[in-house]
Formats: sequence, C-alpha cells, structure tokens
Amino acid sequence: MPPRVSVVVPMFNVATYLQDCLDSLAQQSLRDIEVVMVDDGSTDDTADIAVAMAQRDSRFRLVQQPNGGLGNARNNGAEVATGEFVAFVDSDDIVPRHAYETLLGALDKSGSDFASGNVRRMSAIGISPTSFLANVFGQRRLGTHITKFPALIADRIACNKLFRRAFWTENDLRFPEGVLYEDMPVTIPAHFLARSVDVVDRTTYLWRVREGGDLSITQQRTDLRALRDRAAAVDSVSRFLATRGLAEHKRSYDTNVLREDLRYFLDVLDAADDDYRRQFFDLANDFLDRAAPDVATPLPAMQRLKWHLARQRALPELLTVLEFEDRELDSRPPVRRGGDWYGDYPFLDDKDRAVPRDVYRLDHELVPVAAVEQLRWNDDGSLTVAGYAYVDMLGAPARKSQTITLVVEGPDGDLASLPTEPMHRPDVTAEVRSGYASLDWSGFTVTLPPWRLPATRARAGEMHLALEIAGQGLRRRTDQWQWPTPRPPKTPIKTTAWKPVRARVAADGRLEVAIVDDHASASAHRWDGGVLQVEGTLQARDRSAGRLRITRRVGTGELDYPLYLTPSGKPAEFVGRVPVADLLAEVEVADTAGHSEAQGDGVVWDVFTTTRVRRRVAMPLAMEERAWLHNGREIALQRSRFGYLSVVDRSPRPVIQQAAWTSDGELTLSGTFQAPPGDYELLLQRRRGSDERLYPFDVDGAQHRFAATVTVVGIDDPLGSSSLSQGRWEFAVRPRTGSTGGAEPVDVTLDHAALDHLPIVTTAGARTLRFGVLGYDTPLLVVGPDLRDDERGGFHQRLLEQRRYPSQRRRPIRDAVLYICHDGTSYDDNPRAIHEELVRRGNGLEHLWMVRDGRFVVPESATAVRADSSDYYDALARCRYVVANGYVPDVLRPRRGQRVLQTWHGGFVKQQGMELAGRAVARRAYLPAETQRPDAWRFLVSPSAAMTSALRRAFPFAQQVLETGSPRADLLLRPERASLGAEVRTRLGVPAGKKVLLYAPTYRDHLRQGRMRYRLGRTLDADVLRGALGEDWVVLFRRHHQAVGRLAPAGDPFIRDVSDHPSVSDLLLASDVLVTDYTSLVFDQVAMNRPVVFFTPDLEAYRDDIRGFAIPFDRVAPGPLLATTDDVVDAVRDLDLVRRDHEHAYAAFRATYCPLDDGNAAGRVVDAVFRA
Amino acid sequence: MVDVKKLVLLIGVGRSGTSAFTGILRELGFLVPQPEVEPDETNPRGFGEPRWAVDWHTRLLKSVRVTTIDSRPAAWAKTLAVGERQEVADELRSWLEVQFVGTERVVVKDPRLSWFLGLWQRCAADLGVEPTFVTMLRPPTEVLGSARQWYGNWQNDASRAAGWTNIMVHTEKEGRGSRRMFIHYERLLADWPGEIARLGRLIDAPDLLDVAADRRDRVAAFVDPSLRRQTPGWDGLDVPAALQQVVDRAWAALEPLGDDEAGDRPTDGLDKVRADYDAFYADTEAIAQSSVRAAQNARGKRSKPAPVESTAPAADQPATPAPKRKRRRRRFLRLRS
Repeated sequence: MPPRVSVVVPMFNVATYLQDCLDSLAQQSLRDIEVVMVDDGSTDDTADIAVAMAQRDSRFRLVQQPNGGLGNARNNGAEVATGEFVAFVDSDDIVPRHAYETLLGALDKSGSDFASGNVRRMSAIGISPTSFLANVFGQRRLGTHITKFPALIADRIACNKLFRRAFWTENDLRFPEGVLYEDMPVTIPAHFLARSVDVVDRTTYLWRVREGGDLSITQQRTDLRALRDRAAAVDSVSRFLATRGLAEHKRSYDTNVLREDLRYFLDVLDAADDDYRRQFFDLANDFLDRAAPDVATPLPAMQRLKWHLARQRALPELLTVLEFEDRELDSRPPVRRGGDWYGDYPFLDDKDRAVPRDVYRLDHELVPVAAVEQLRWNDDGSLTVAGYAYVDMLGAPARKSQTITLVVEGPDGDLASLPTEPMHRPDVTAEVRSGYASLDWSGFTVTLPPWRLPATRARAGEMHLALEIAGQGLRRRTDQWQWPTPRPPKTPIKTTAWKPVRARVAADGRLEVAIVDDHASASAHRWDGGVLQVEGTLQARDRSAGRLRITRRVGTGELDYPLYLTPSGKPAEFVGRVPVADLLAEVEVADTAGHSEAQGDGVVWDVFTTTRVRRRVAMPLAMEERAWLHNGREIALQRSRFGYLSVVDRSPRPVIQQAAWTSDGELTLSGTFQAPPGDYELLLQRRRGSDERLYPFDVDGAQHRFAATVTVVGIDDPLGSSSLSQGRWEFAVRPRTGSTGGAEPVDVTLDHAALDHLPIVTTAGARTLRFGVLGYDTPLLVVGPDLRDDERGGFHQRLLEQRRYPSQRRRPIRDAVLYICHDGTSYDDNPRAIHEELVRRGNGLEHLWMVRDGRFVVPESATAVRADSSDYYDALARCRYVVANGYVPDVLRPRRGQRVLQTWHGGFVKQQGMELAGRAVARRAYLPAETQRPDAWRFLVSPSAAMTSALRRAFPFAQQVLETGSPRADLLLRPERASLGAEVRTRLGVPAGKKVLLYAPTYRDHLRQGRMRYRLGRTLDADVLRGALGEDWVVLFRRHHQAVGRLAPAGDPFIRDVSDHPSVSDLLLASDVLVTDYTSLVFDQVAMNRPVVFFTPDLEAYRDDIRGFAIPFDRVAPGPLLATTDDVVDAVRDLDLVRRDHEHAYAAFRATYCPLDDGNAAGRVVDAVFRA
Repeated sequence: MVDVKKLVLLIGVGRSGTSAFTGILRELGFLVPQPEVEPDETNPRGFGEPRWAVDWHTRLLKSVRVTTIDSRPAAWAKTLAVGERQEVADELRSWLEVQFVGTERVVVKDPRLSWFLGLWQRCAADLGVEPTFVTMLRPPTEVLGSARQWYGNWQNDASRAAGWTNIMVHTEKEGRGSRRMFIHYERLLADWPGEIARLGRLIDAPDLLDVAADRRDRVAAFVDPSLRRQTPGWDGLDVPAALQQVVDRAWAALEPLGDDEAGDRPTDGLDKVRADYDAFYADTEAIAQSSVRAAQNARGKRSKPAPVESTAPAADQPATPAPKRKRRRRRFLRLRS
C-alpha cells in the first residue's frame, strides 16, 4: 500500500548538514511516509550518509544520478514518488516533527490541493521568523485561495508545502532546470491552479542559513546570473498569469515583483559594476514593457521614484536617490502641496529632471498607527481603552494636530463612535525610531459605556474596536492594533451580570470585544497520582456520549476520554480524568528536537468537552492554576491567554510571582520552582544578540521557592561590561554544573495572577528599565538606551542633529578632546594610547570619552559622555579634537580650529572602504560611511608604510597621513607588560598554572544579522577544544564588536566569553597565544612577538567573494592557516614548532607591517597633532 | 484470564470499620473517587466515601422513601425497582467508566450502596469489570453503640438494630454468587496485612499478598487499633429483648463468614434468620398499625405527600420545558458590580 506522504530530498554535497535533515524526517510524528533521497552527483560523503540511512530505515530509499541541478533532482524524485501526497525538502534544512502530521491533518479536513506551512530561519545564533512570510502565516486558513487571500503571492517556497500528488501530476508541475530560483515558477502557478489551499500558521519548515563561506543564492544579489535567473523566474510567472487571462492578478503580481523581487537588484546598483547595471536596466525595462502602465502606482513614493528613474535609465539620479534613501529618508518630513502630501525626495520640483509630481505623492505611506496600552473593564461595565495613535510620517506635534475617534464596528456596520481625550505623550516620541515628526500629542484615552457594547453583537469575532484619525488634511481609519513591549496587563476578562467578557487583540491584529464561550466551564481540578481530574459544568441538551477531548496545540495529536455528565440539572455537571502518562507518551512521539522554534520546552494541550457539539473548556478567574511534578516533568494546569483551560507538560521551571525594583535600580524576583535538587543560576539572554549574563539564583527546595536579584547597572564583572546593554533581555534558569559551563536552561515564566501588576518601571540615571511581559507570560526586561526622554527616538535625534548641533557649533570651541572608540563600546585601542599619552604630558586639555549604554567605566582622567546625548552633540560641535578609531558620526562637520584625528584600529587584513566596491557584500549602508567621511578627517594614523598604501587605496583621504606606528601597540609594549598581564589574568579568574588561548574571530559580511551586525560563520569546535585543551588551558573568546554569536554558554569555566570586556589590549596581555582569522589583532600579537595561529576554513571564499584581503594575507600570514579545530589544537600544543615553521614569515610580517612599533607611537601622534 | 480492572465495593452498615478498610486500600493504590465526603468529628480520618456516590444513592433512596438504615424488608423491592431503570444504570455506568480512567483499581464505599448491589454489578459488568463485595463484620452492639454516640438518637436503638439486621442479612443474600469476602473489623485492626492478603488472593492481586515496605509503612501509620472504642453488650442500648435475640442470631450466623476465604460457606442458618426477621418485622408492623396510621394522618394535614422524585423526566413529560417567550429587552455587557 502506498504511503500517505512522499518526501523528495535532492542532495548535492551536503554531508555537513544531511544527517540532521534525514533524522528530522525519520522522526516525523506521521509515520506513514517514504523519503526519496536523490543524490545529484555529490562528490563528498553525501551518498554514504544516505545509504546508511536507507539501511537503517526502510522508508528511505536512494536514487542516484549525474549532477543535473536542484530542479532536475526534485523532478526526478517526484516521478518515482508513490505517496498520496508529495513534499520537497532541501537537504540542509530541518522539518519539525509535527510538520507532516499538521499539514496532512489540514488537507484531510479540507480536501485542498496543497497545504503550506510557516517557515522559520535557522542560523548559528538561533531560530527566527521569516519576515517576508509574516503576512501569509499570521493565522490558519483552510480552503482558501490566492484570489481570496492575495498575501499568498509571497508564499513562493516549495519546501514548506505538501502537495496532493494527483494535483501535482494532473497539472504537470515541474521545476525549471538549470537555473537559480526554481521554486517561484512552480509555487505561484500552483497557487492559481489549485482549487483551494490550506495555510497552516504552525512552523513546518526550518530553513537553514548557512554559516560557511559559500554565499547562498539570495546573498549574491550583484551576481549577473542571479539577476538574469530571477528576472526569468518572475517573467515566467507573469506570462503564466497573462496566458490564463488573469489580468488583475498579473497586475498585482507584477507590482509585487517591483516591490520585492526586482527591487533587491535595483537597491544594489550602487555597488554593482557597469555590466550588471546595463543588464539590470535591460531586464527591468523589458519587464515593465509588458506590465500595465500603472503597475507601480500601488508602491510607496520612494519606490515609484526609483522605478521611474530606472525606466528612464537615469543612473546618476538613481544613485543619488539610493544614497538619499539610505541616509536621509527616515528623517525628512513630508511636504504639503495644495492639500496633498509629498515625499521630500531628490528632484522634487526639479524642472530639469521633470519627474512628475505624482510620483512623489504620499498615500500608502501615511499609515495610521494605533497602539493599545491599557484595556480595562470598570466596575460599571464600561471599558477604558488608552494608548496612542498617529498617522505615520505626519505625527501629532500639537494638541490640535489630530482628533481620534474610537469606533465600535459590528458585523453589519458601525455600532458607535466616541471622541477620545487627547493625551500629552512625549515618551511616545522618544520610543519611535523614525524622525519625521513629533508624536507628543498622539496619546488618547476613551471610556466606552456599557450601552455602546450590545451583547447581541458580542459573539466571538463580531464586535471590534477601530480608530479614526483626522487632521492635517487627512482622515485615516485602522482596526489594526499594536501592543507595546513589554506589553500592558494581560488580556482582561471580566464577569458581566451573566457572562464573562473579554477584550483582546486577536491574531488578526483587531481589537475584539466578545463574550467568552463558557458553555463548558471548569470548576475544580484534582491531582491523583498522575491523573488529572477536571470537574465543571456544561450547558448541553444532549448529554449522551459525552467525551473529554485533549488536543495538542501543535500538530494534530488528540486524546479522548469518557466524560461523566449529570443527566439532569442545568447546566450539567461533568467529571473527566486525564492520565498524564498519556500526554507524556505523546510528547515522546511528538517532539524534542524541533520544540524550541515554536513552543519552547513545553507542550500545550487544550481541553474540550464533546457531546453533539464540541466546546472548549473555559477556566474561570476564580479557579486557581496549579502545577504538579510527575516523573521529572511539570504538569501545569493553567488559563490560556483567552481564558480557557490548558494543560502544559514542561520541564520544571521557575514561576515569578513577585517582582519589584529596589531604590538602587535592582530587580528582585521571587516565586515558585519545583526544582530538582541542585544549584541553579539565572541566565539573562539578550534577544537577537549573543549577550548573556549570569546571576545567583537561590532555591529553597523544601518550600519550592526561589529568589533572585538582577543588577542592571553598576555590575562588577571582570569578564564583561558594567551594565546590561540596551535591548530586550529574556530569563532562563539552568543548573550550575561547574565543569561544563551549565546544562540546558529552562524558561522562566510569569504567574498569570501577577500579570496585572506589570509592567513595573524604574530609572537608572538616564535609562528607563522596564520589567514586563512578552507574549502571554514570558518575563522580559527592557533596558532603555542611556538617554533622556528628550534625547531618545528618531525625532529627538533629528532635533539634536539639525538644531542643537548647529547652535552649539556657533559657540566658542573648547580645549577638549572627544574620544570615539569602537562606537563608544570600549576604552581601548589607539584612542586610549593617545589619551594616556596626553594625560602623561599633562597639557591641560579636557578629555571626554563617548560611552554607549554605560558599557564601561572611564578612568578618572576622562569624563564619560553618553553616546547620542545632547552632551555628545555639544562635544562634537565644540571639542577642539575628535579622536576616532573608525566610525565618525555623519553629523560631524569640522569647524575652523577643530581637528579630527582618524586613528583607525591597527593594521587590517580585510579590505576596507573603496576597495569593497563591486564586491557582492558591499552595501550602500557600509560603503559611503567609510568612503565619504574622510573629508572630515584632518589626520590619519598609519602603522606602517605598507598599511599607508592600503589606507590610501581604501579611503579617498588627501591630507596628512601620520605614519607613526600603531599607538595601541604601545599599550602592549610597556615595560611592565608581564605584570599587567598577570594582573588581568587574576581579574579574569584564570587559575594559576593554566595557559590562556585568546580566540578572536571576526564577522562574516554575508551573514548579516540586523543593522551593522553579522554572524561569525564557522568557529572553532568548543567540544573539541574542551576535550583537547581542557586540562591545561583556558580559552578567552572575544568576538568582533560587530559580530553576534557564542562559542559556549555564559559561565563556562573553560571557554570564557570576554566579548564585552572593555579592553582587548588587556586580553592580549593576558594571553599566551592568539587564534584568530582576519582581524587586526594579528598585528598587535606580532608586535608583542607572540605566536599566532589562524583558523581560516573559509580562506578562499573570504578572499574571493566575501570580503577580500587588503594585504596578500594568504601569502604573508605569520602563522599556520588551518581549517579544522584539530589542526588548531595540534598547533597550540606545540607552539615551538609553529614558531620554527613560520619563523621567516613571522619576521617578514613584522618587518613589513610592524616596523615602527617601538612603544612610542602615541607620542609621535601627539607630537604631530597636539603640538599646537 | 486475569481481570485487569479491580472494583471493590464496600457494603454493610456504617460504623463497622468500612472507612478504615477504604483508607487501607487507598494507601495500597486503589482510587477513592474524588471528591470525597469531608472528614468530620465522627470520622476525623475521613470517610473514604465519594461525594457523588453518597449524593446519588441518597437521591435514589429518597425517590422511593427508603432510608440508609431502613429496617423494612419491603424496602428491598423498592430499591430494586429503581436500580432497574435504564437511565439510572446509564448514569452509574458513565460515572464508573470515568473513575477507571488512569487507574485499574477503584474502591467505592457508601453504606447506601448495599441497597443497589445488582445495579452496581450490572454496570460494572458492562465495563468488563467483575466487582468484589466486601462486608465488614463488627459486633452489632458495637455498631449500634457507635452510631448512637456519633449520629445521635434521631433513630432509636431498636430501629437501628432492626435496620442493621435487615441490611446485613439481605445484602448477604444479594451477594451470593458474587465475588465477595467478609472481614472482621477486629482482625483488620490486629492483622491488616493478613486480611489484605486474603483480598489479594480473592481478586488475584499479587502485590497485596506481600505489601511493599513503603506502602506497609504508610498503612501502618494510618491504621489505629484504638479506633475500636466500643465495648460489646446490650447494656446501655434500648432494644427490646425479642429484637436482641433476632440480632444475636443474625450476628451468630454472619460471624463465621469472616473466617471464610471466599465468603461461600453454606448459609442455611442465615436464610432462617432472614425469614424469621421478615416475619418478626411483619408482626411488629401489624402491631404498630395504629401508630403508622396516626403518623400518616398527621402528615397529611400538614402537606400533600411529596411526589416521588425521579432522576430523569417521566416518559409522558417533555424533556425540556416549553420555551419561554423571547424577551426583547436589549442586553449589554454590564459588569457585576
């Protein structure tokens, strides 16, 4: 009998990832599958892994073929598939355990032709949502269609789908062969050909972002082949729609192509070469020739302008616009012309360019924004709604800028509308990043009396609240609401005279007011040796054949038990019993590997009664939540965010019941924790980053209680910074195991009864610290920037730039030096050496050091200036000297008498500035920042003649280069360096007798992780290091300050993360050997005459594609270039051999790149710059 | 084939040690259906009686005007008729099915259960479970003395003594042919492992033959030999001599059953006692006719006789009341203040 599902896995040289992928398929909770592995002519161990898999599991079979490309391999796999359904999986990705069970469950229910599930990206630093699919998978939709739900146009991935094979073959669907972008020409037509489609909001596919040296297809946007294939792919879809007579859909699709597909290629024109630009204009205009004339109309004005210029092939103007978009767009307020609003973009009103004014007209951009901060049912039955709202780009600068009306929307039209009370909210302006306008008067509050909320319209999904914003010549309405983070008190549910009612922001973003369905309602729960008994009431006429049904929230798992119902009485009383062992058994089948992407460590079960009608069991507010230990797991019976009963199977975890700020700005937490015996520590992890921080966590095992205190600022930590950096911090707890650095952390949750008291807010200096809720019950600490309200936010920053800075610039210059070191994150490097030299000489200058986020404490010889504060802008405007080692703020325009000393940060291996032009990874945001600021520099420090020529190639700098040697090397060459190193070791807690390996990798430009942040790529294997060097060594791990990623968990005694340590010089002094890749530390280490070992597994890719070398690094490297951790270990174990083998290279490197490093470079710089 | 599910039903008269035996079984892993009747001063360690069973039996007994310790032999026909109603059996079966979710051993104790042995037996059989009836044996004078001490004298000693006889001899008859055992309360307190082993052999539960040490400790902590506080003898009990003789004869006939492994000793003597008791009760009822009539008249003047309660609507009654006229008044989400 054929299997229900066939999974086709094309494979080409994926030995590194394949096993994980195949294991994820083998462990599917849906057992009735076959896996067709198509080896597309691999030359590595791929086939061996597949053969072994086929031998172990008879559901797997291998098809081998000569290399024919991904599309060809998929097609061949589909031809031999026998299942009722077919899916495609790329061999480096992972399929969560419930994926096919969930997709198949939907299809069995709906009869649709295929089902499509949510996708998440998986990288070295964790799993994150796929933003371009956010609108597609916001909620589950069975039996829909792209014509009914147009957002499906973005659903172009093949691997997140389960196709009915009859549908696949009937429509002769085949992937194009020999091209990039195989998916889109199949998936978009499939969406139109299908009679109906299921959209599953659960994650059913984990898409791996590779960390290796290879640039993936989507990372190669200036690649000509990528451009051509992408254009061909979108063209094939567009033609398909045209031939099917789907003109409206073609227009919509073509618009989307401009908005998404081709825009990616347009946006890199400034980094592309002439050939690429020519091809782009050809292909884009070819596409536009066949598109409707108004295809760009639905786009935002900025995109319309770019496509207008592309249509004209106006390259210089287009480059101007691209630069404007990158640097000024967010801070340029719109302008009003004759009642309409226009973008104040380049060439507006420029008669020579004659761009039609309509191109600039703002419409889609003027989006109404509504945020709800407070939803409160009052005792008289009224509902208070408070928050803020404004029209994007226009803001609400004055009390009368806008009027906000709350509208109660019913199923058949508006039921009521009420004016709201405007509120003065300067804090909102401070929170918003865009700098268009002030939002000081965006606040509102309104109380809806009960007679505005008719119960007859309050069934679920019927009554919603919307806002209408009028003012500044516009009237905008929205029913889409945001919750600020941390969110306000939980979704309120209150009991009315006869029913519980709720007000909530639903999954579709609308604010719904509805009666909670409490036809089934729990009244009591009991725990009896592993059996959970639930009692309650049920309003049901037919009470025969009552069942209690427990449904797993992820997947389609369902358990069914008898339900006792009293035959008389109204409502009926019910009793049901659930053996917890059944839930645990299901979990074993269900998931352990893929859990983290969707549901944390817990598996949630919802509880229903069924008679003739299925009812979800409500959990009244009066009913207490409880958790019990069972076989090492914690079984919690709790209220869902919308008031229903759920059972959660999870690791025992702390539940915070009390949280408070002390007057010292410390956060105290306490609550319950049914902890297994042992010592624990609290782990704070910064979201979307790699920062971690450990705190003591006291557990009273007998009482099942815990207590912890979180210090946010003024932390005494020898390894890292002195305060938590700005951002969102999440809480976890893990056992303290001492030797291995800690076991798997478990999540910390908030007691649902405590939610009403959150968020709690305090201030520490200029910072705002908020402890509150993320989602439903996840505790979250939000650390604000070290800025006052009138300094925070895009608008205030624009005021500081455009008003304060110029006004300060007119004031007398100060005899002061402003130091900007690594964007305010450290006290180190060349600025520190120069500062210490100046202080030593005592020439009376005032010293100001820029500090971001209070990351470190500056020495007494300098005064800290908070980054981006008004003091900082004052200093930029008035300090006679600005000493920077890289980043120089855009706003700085040196005035007469003001000197900017660009010290750079040592020698450099990787290409910089202008040398990056034409490289795939060059970005507009990156290139100009370093190529254009040289006009502000007065002096540029160079460590050597060799680096001087590299600097000249990198930067168009015409003024004086101070070829003085590297000042920062002075710090390493001081006579007392040995004792300084020992002192640092002591501070870091390195045990006596252990040697220190400093591992300092740099980031990989193609692995972008947010603004100016990148991942590390392949790093040394921590386990191998530990196994080989654990006895005698300590590893200090120092990632580049723009990199994210960890080598080991915080608290690991062997691998210590010192990435936040304020001084890498100190770390170098404390180390015996440096392992690095392409960082500038190699120059310092050579200056110190200490050994260097290079871990460069991606040497060729880095040299040829990713970044390129500024020096012939692969020829002149003063140490071994190694590709495996084992080789690095061998080298570290025999450093004498390394020295001997690389003696000549080392000496040559030193002579070429460090000839001037004699410990007096800073003196020479000071002589040259500060003499006057 | 070994039955996996074990249902132990404790029958007999209250104050005879049923709570202690239920408590022991609970410690040995039997489920006592929840919630239970709350402990009180009459039984501080808990009754071990499921609240539902007590309420449900009470409702059924009330519907046919039978009391828990009813002395009328004719009451058995009334409770038998109730137990034969389909909806009654359906409800019990539904409740019992839920109790077996997540467990294979259930013990139900309620003195009222004695009136519905057949019903319980049928419903258990429907679920594939053969019940085991366990009757606690305690000298009637101790039982009556304890009842008088803790329950008061709303029912006089004579009536209680007659009720004890009625229930004990009739439940013995009803339980014949079923899996059953009789346990002396005194022996239970003195040697609970022995008595539990006896039950283990009867229901084929090897773990009860030699109770694990941890459970043994828990049971030992629970069993309190001082629980048996009453001293035997008729002194202090206001029971006519003729009735005393009947009760003594019944006890004499019942007592040997406690020595019996499977409770299937010949019961000719008990048949004679039961017949004699029925005749004795008929005689006394006839003698007391004037009192009965006077009581009926007095009640008739005060109020009409209450209708017989039913757990389900009668066949000629609609299942649900006729719909009320819809009220047009608009309702709002007004909160309770």
